[in-house]
Amino acid sequence: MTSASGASPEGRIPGRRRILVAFDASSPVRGALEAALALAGEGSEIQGLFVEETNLLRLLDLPFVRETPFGFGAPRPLEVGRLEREIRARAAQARAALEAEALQRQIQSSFRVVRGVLATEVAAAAGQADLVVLDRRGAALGPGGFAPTARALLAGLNLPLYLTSGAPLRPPVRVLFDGSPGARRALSEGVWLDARLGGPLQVVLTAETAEQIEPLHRAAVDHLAALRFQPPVLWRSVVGREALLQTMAAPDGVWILSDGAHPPLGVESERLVEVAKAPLWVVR
Amino acid sequence: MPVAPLPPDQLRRPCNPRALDFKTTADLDPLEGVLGQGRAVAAVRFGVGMPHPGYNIFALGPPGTGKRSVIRHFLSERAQGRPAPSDWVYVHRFDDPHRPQALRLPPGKGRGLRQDMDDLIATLKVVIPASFESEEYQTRRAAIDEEYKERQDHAFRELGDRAKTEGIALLRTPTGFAFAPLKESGDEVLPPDEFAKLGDKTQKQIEAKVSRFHDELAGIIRQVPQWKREAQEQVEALDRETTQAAVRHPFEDLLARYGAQPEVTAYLKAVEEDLLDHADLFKGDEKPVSVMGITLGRKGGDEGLSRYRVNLLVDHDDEPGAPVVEEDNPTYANLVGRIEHQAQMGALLTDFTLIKPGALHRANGGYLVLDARKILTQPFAWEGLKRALTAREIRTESLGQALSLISTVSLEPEPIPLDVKVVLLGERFIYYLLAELDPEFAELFKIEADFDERMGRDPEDETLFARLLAGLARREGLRPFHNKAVAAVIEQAARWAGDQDKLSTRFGQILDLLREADFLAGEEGGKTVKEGHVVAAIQARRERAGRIRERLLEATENGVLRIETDGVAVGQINGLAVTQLGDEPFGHPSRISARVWQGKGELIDIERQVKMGGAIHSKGVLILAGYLGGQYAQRQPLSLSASLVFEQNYGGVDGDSASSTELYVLLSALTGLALRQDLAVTGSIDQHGRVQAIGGANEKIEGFFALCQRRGLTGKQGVLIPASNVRHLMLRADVVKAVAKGRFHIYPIETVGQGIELLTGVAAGAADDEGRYPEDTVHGKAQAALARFLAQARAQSRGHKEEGGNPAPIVPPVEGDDTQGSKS
Repeated sequence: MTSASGASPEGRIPGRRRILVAFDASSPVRGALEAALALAGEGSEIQGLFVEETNLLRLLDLPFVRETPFGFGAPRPLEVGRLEREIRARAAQARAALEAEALQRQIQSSFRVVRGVLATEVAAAAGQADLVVLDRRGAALGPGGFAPTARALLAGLNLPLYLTSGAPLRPPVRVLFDGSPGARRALSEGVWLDARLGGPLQVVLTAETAEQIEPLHRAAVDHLAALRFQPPVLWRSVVGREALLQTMAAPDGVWILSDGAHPPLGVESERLVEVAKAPLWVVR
Repeated sequence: MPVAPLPPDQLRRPCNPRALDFKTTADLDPLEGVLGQGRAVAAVRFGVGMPHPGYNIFALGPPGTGKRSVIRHFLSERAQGRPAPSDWVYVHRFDDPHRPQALRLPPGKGRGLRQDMDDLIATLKVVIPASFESEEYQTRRAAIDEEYKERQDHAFRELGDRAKTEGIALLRTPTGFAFAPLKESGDEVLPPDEFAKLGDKTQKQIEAKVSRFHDELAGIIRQVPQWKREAQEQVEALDRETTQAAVRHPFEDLLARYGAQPEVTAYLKAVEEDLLDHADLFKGDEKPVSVMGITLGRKGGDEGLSRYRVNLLVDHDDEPGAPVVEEDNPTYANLVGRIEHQAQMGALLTDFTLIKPGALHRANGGYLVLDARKILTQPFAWEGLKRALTAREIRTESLGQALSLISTVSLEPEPIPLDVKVVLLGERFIYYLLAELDPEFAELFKIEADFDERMGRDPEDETLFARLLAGLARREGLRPFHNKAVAAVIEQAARWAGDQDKLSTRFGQILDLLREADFLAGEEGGKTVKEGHVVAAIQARRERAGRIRERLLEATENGVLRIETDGVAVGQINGLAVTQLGDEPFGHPSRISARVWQGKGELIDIERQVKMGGAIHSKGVLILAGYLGGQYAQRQPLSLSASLVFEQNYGGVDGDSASSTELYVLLSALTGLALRQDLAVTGSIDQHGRVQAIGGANEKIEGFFALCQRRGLTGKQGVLIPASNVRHLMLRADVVKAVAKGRFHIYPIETVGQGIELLTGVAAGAADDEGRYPEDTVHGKAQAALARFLAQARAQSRGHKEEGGNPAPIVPPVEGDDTQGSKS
């Protein structure tokens, strides 16, 4: 594939207007917050939402439940007072971090604490948000990997979703392009994010056969031209399901893809999100 | 026969300008180098050429005899024929940072290595960060991180999945993990009320499962640090591999360049090995450490990189031969080098880049010239030099370390092998003191180059001397000297040598005279320097240094200092003394008096009694006593006591040049014979009455002449000098002129008899077979006086026994007891 270079857009690149960043007691505060801040800009508003996970609180009423600490140590009883104090402390940390960063960057912010199931509470709070950000490491059920909470959000939330895994948001920006309308939206967001982070933008063309790649390339070029925006582009092509899953495992950069099924490959977005190591942005 | 005065031609040996075959020094082929130092030059030549240890040179002699010039000449000549020695650098020793490593390089290569290492650092500052920022590295690094994360995730996920299959959820709490039973849907923890409804058996089963999973979880968590360690080791291995790939090419170039120097290649390999573990230093991502707003430095950046730099200690680039180093300030540190420190937050820090070379480093492989007096007056410098020469290595350490005064951790630079020829310049007494008092001196300075302050004066010598003057004048940019001016300089050189047949080799002093005469010639607008200018320069020097001489003359002239220059007196005589203040010694008369009385042979030297007389003066007085005993006490005891004193002397006296004078005045006091006060006397004696040579004859004569001239020359005045001093006479022209006109006289005296006859006008006398002297002679009168003392003593002894022991009164001499200051 060839690469093209073009002029960058003039002026500053605006951030997302309303960003909902969600925390729970099991996820690190910094990862999601830094991602939200990186995507925000002048005039943005970051809405912090801390969810006291019901599943965790239920543990307190079970008679035999113990906790094994992160560091090496023997299991210990899960005390009501201690767990609640730790949850409150984590919420206070999240609030303090958000307010301090927002003040420093002159960004509007708000913060609230709710008790419930994370996926439900995020869906309820998202409202008019442009983007929902959360740390996939802190999904309420199942440590590590793609958890049911995230899966539920992907399925039930009709908003762009940014899932961080703690790595900072940095280039390269990789857009998965299969020619679908969702892929075009992903390409548009990719151009936007690439302008903020610096290129070159990587467009990963995915198809079942090699012959399908060239039309995809033309479609992507046309779409970029329609955006009147020609950043330097690094073109890559991925043919076949296994190659795509392997490509998605790249640990660096950030992925942008659309939700739903990817017709050429028949791969569900949920599966792609599950194999992805790097932060990823699912557009709607 | 009375002693005849010396004719004028014996008072000064002139230099005949006609014998100098040139008009001015411009006509001469100038003589460069030195003159009259054959012995010293041979010693220097031998010492400079001897390659064995210990053949260092001590050039001894008075200042201005050309020691430094000769040494410089021979050393530079020798040094040009020798190869330039090695360069030396200090570098970091990676396995023992407190002991910096010394590296030897071919001359001029040290600077190259330093530049190469600086270039290498600059290159690596670009190459290493680029390697670590490369996509390949980042991918591999991320893969390691990912593998570690994956390992953890997999373990937890696998545990979580297995737990889930058994209806148990693995949950993350804020500080750890917990297990809980799941609803049948598998997405939600079983509420407590539902759990309570389960039967005991089921509850127990769940509890057992949870306990089992906790045990498994603990096992996983125990493995996490090990996984982390393994990941870290993989990262370190990756970093080393990345660094190795980045530095390979630059090091290959360097190793090829220094392949002929195994020490350097070994060092470069050590650098390469160290770099593999310290790539962070080149990344520049270390932030400065600050305490209370004060930056303390950082691990990265240039501070950390200094470990790879090269401290060029000795650089012989652009030097054609062996070095010749003259160290004017030979302190301990200036000789063996120093380790400097930098203050940082109240602490003194150092490293190998702060090692500074000393003179021994710079002179290594060549020659080092030092002033002996200076090195001996600098604390521990002499010991430091000897230690280096003995050990044949330069060990740079502070005085505190060398003396074990401090025990703080500091650097101990690797000693550098020493191969140097040291030349010490100094006065003779320093050499002799060192030879006597320092047992190591003879082993370390085997070559004695003794520079003479005098040379011969035959016609050939005078010609060479003239050529040397021509060379000096030309080198100094002075006007040409007329042959009469040269003759005047030669005569002055003989005067400074204190010998008609010698010339002074203190060319520093001679050069000063040339410059001053040239200046006077310039003042007059002359194109050449003439005799008058030289004479005027000599006179001006004398005048400049003449304040004290003039004050003494004034005090003598107006009677404050009592010196007679006319008439006669008993028990009083004019002695002569020389005072040396600065470069212009001068003579002046000094009144010596004696009193005698009946006694038991005691001779009281008043100067000695009041501790104003030196040892040599006392020796002279004791010799005098020996003479008296031998002369008069062969058959009877010496029944007198006497006292001698330098009148109006308040500054001490030394030397034996007045011993003949003291004998004359003692004989005068004993015999009552008056001495001529228009004569002054100098000369030492032996116990047989022979008069011996003394120093400063010219100055002494001129001192008495000046006083007589000031008072008016009578035609009878003069000076008695030892006959053996006649060859030393180089009197001023005005003195010679007065002698030629019969206004002043110089008498060469060989025996006491000659002197006393001249002073008293009475024959000294010769003893008969029984040792008796004729009554009308000096010795006869002395014998008679002593006999009277003896008779009185015996009479008193008898009376004492009869009367019960009261001592007899002292009986003064029969004649001349009223003589102090009297004139006849």
